[in-house]
Amino acid sequence: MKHTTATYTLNYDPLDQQINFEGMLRPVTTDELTGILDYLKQIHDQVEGILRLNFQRLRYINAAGIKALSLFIDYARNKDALSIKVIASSVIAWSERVLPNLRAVWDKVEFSIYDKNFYKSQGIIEDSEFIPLLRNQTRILWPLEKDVLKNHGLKTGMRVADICCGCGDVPLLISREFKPSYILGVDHSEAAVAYARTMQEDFNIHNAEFQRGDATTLMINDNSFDFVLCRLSLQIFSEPGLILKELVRIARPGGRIYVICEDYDLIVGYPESASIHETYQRAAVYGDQMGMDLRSGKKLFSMLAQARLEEIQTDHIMLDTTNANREAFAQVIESWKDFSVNTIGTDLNLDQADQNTLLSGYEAQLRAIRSETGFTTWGIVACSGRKPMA
Amino acid sequence: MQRVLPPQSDSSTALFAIELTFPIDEFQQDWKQCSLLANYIAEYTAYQFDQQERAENIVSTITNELLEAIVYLAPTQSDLIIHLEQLEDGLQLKTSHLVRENLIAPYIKFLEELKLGVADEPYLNLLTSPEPSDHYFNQLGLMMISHDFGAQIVRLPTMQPDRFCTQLFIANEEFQA
Repeated sequence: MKHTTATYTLNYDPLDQQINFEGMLRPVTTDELTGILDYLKQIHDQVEGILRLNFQRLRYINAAGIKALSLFIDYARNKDALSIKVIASSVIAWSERVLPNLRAVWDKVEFSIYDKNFYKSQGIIEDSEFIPLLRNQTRILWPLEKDVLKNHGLKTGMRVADICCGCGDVPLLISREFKPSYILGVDHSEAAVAYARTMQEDFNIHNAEFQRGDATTLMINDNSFDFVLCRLSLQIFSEPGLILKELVRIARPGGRIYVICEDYDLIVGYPESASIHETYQRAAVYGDQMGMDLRSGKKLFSMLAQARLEEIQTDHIMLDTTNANREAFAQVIESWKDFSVNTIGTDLNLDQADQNTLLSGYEAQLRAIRSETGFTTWGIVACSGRKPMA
Repeated sequence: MQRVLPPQSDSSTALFAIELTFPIDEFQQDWKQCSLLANYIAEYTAYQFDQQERAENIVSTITNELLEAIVYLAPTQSDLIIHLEQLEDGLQLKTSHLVRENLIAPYIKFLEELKLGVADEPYLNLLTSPEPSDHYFNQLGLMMISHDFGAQIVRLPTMQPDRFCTQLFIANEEFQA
């Protein structure tokens, strides 16, 4: 059941008992205001329990729109039959400022900002200190991945979106290497997006754009990109399916969705194999506790198949000490060691013994990298599928 | 008509400035133009800010409310001049326009009250109560941007006695997350 005009839509989803607001709610006439209010009242009177008002996709509202919402909350207060939950987004600045006022109309209104703490490791991943780790990873990954991207259908002239693009280095490298007509990078981290914009100036690239956004609720039109990437990110979200749904939505019919995830089961090393194995198994368990699935590479094919994508194609990107620069590889492992032992270790309050066990495998791997006869890997699964035409 | 002014042409502290002039009838005949213009100004201005999406959203929201108010206030066949400047300490939006005879006194009184700040109670009351029908000029919108976005709205003196210059200022801190 929808209430639609040229600029906004109010869409009731009975499964979640949620009204989704989309577009620009800037009513001007009394008729418009009455139409909104009547629709909200009509839904209210059909629902029992909790009614959610979700504003994650409402780009703008005006005072008349707020008035309609306030009058609705006042209506609900007088009826006192339901609980109302209001869901805002930190990506939409007005919503954080204006919506809390609805609680003043009725103190039983519950207000939440969806994307504050929406994944457990958010504070760490979105910190500017995480950026050097991302840069180091790209340094060794890109030489192999650019061929994989070609193999998965990325071509010159395409409209490309990189969702969860981090510090933006990969979209800019794609821009240089593949010459897309346009490339959009989206990330939730303010620090990463600011870094990406600075790097874009340094690279002097004009057909790229970066924006801050929530990957589960992208402010991007349906069917608007030929090639949609999401790299090394699905594994950090507890509900990767929500992101995949958005990737599929923004890809045009026939367009391709490309995802890569690491898989700690694919990391091996020699000598000191047992220590390296133990560390990554433990790191994966600690990752679980932080809401990350660091063994998710093997699950990608199933995820894309369940999303009903066609012509699914998979590749391994197997970095090792023979195809990556050893010193750059060592820098990546140094970053992981620091991130895992210090950042995650502190966050999970690991005791000294556990920290030492974790540390010993990373140090064993570093010795393998820095020894001329040592060998180790970083295994990633790349998977892409085509969005059906109809 | 749009002019992008070179820095320091109008104010010695302006980092960026833009000026636009419109016949008010365009907005009165099609109210959606307020929203279109607010979005245009916001998109154009946001590139000056580190947190672009945030700035764009806030600039559009406050500009739209101010425009809606002025379009109610101004008589037909008058013009509206919008002058926007980014200053060291914030964003300043000046509008030069006429005010319909019957709204001059209520508008001046409203701006004088607004200068003192918007307390929670009258604002929250207005959210759920009928607005004045005789002297309506989007009072709620102006109160909202003052209450929720820290906008400072004042009337400036002008050389022409019949023209109003309504100035809106938002401090840089308001654009930070």
